[in-house]
Amino acid sequence: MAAGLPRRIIKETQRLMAEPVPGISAVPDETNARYFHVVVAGPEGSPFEGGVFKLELFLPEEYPMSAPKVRFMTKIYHPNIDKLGRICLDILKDKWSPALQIRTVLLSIQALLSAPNPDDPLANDVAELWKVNESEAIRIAREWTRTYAMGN
Amino acid sequence: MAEIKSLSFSYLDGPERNLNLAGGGGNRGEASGRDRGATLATLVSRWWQQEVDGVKLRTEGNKYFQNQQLEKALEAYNKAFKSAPQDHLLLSNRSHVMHTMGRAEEALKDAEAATRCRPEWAKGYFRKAMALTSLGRFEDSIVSLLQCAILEESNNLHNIKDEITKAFHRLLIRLTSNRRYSMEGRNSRHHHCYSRLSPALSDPSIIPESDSEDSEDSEDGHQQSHCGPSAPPVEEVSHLRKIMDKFNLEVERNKKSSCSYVRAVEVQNYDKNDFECTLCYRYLYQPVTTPCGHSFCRTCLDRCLDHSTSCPLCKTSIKMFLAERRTAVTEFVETAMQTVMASECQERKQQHDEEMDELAAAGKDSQHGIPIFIATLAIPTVSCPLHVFEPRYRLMIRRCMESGTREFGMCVPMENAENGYADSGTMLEIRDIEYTPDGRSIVNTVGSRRFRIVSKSVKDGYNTAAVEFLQDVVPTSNLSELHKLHDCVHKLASKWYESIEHMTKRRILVHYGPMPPVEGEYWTIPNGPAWMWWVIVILPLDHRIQLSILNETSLKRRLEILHKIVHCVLVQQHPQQAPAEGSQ
Repeated sequence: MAAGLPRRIIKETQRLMAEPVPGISAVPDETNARYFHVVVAGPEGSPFEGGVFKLELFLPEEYPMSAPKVRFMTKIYHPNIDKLGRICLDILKDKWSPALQIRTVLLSIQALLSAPNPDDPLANDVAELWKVNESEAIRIAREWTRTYAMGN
Repeated sequence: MAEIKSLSFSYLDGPERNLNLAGGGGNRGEASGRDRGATLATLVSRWWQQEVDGVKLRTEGNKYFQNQQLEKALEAYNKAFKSAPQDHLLLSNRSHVMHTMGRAEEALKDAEAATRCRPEWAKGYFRKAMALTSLGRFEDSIVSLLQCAILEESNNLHNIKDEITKAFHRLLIRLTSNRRYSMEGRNSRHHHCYSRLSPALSDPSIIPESDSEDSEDSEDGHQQSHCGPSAPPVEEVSHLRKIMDKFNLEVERNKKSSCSYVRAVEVQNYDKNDFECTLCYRYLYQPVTTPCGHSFCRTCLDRCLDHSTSCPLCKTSIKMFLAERRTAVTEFVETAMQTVMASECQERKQQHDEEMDELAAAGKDSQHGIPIFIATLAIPTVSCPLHVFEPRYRLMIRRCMESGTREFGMCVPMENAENGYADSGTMLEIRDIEYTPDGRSIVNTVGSRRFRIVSKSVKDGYNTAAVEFLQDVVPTSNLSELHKLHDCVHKLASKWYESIEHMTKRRILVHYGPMPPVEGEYWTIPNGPAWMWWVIVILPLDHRIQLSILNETSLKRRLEILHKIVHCVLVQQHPQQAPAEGSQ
């Protein structure tokens, strides 16, 4: 008995296609409607500007009762994103609410790129440098963006 | 113009109500934008801004009045009147302030307007009565008080009764004092007649001080009134009759006046998106509103409450909402939807009904799996109380209840099996459920049909399975042999049970009750005789052995297995006597 795709996921996908979030594209996988290929443009004025970051977003069986699972596929130098691309974002964990949606999650991730939060780190070494020598951290972040997020 | 019939827009009744109008982010400027999850306050102020302004001014006036700033209160009420001339509460309050200021004529006018706006509202008549009394129109005042009395809720009635008593008192005093003048010279024969009407009337303390203008007269009247011991004076009787006639007339008139109120909504202020559930993205079905003013489909909010006790939209704690199990549908939202988007409502209801039908069909065929609870080994006919705390099982049990199936499959966890649970199990029928304030529950169930799983699946976080139900093959031959075996095992099992230590036996009795008696034609029952299951559950057996007995659809085989087990247990207990018993 395969449970069909909930109406909510269908509607969210349709709306995401019809009115995309500026700077973000999210396309459902052809074989799995719960799996999205996400591309986020590095926000202007951030060390990630000019970069194109790939992410994967998965809606678990319990969605929207539990949060989507999101991960950066492109390497990124950011205090709240670790080597494996895992993101430290409260709304993806304990602050999740079923009234949030894919759109709000993507917007939050975009905001996280604009405003790294080294006080709540996931990647400790990055956060440390970000606090001690912010300009050096930003320089590395720019370099990583050029190396990993610009060559398509 | 879309029209919404409203019988109880109590939200407009002021800030003391639990739905706060002023709070909740009622922001009119956002009316045109996509404002997902609008609060009730937002809707009300978008639809009836003028009236809401009126309510705010009225509330302001009430505060002035409480501080005895009568002029300021009146000013606020006058302003409010411009916004909401039909607000019965405003009219009543303004009547009150006028009355207090001694402007009885105006007080009467407002009170009458209030009763016209809400003919079924008791307090309007009370205000009217107060104004009439000040104007010296005692008969009319009594009529209004009586109208108030028949409309008022019973817990407020004693105040009204007091007022009625006072009003009659005043009237009778006037009548008798009038007569004193007209019948001057007649001798006093009896003391005042009121004491016979009611003992309370003889208590001068109940005469309000405000009536001092004729209090001297009334004192005189008290002393010198005349009335016969058997026949009350004709004048009083005819007066009372007149009052009653007038009262009946008014009541009849009110009965005829229609009590339906319509509040119009401008179509451009009406947005269907306001009625989309922010959880399932469909139109609201059975909308339930949280104390913070957000509405969700009842089933959607229930599901959120399984996970968290805060409002999904604004994170306000709704612990109490859950504890009090407030799941009443918000009539206001439902009526609004029904009025303007009836076809969408119908469609949504159909969707819901189909979903329920789907759940209700659980176990009917391989397309409709049964919900599976993974916790323990359940046995037919044996009770199985469950503590339900996991969100997925809260949802599952609720669905069992709402769809009316009241049953689910119970499977024992098994590490190496597919999805981590055994491939067979027992249905549990829900007997009753007790909820704790935090949403957990104790579910009392009893085992019924046995099943074997055909395929496993997952739905909304809990397991489901397509199953084949198992039942014993009814034996057609060698019945006498079966009876013999049955009686032997029954005897042996009873003997073992008797041998159990006292305290253990008591615990068994508390949990599982006494051994069930042998049913007539037990070999035709789908699960076989109940006593066997009772023995199987109290025997110290491994789940795997219990499971293999459960899967056995031959009563004879089950008896043989049980015979072996009980024999072994007896041997372990009394190694020296048991062989003799086993050989019986």
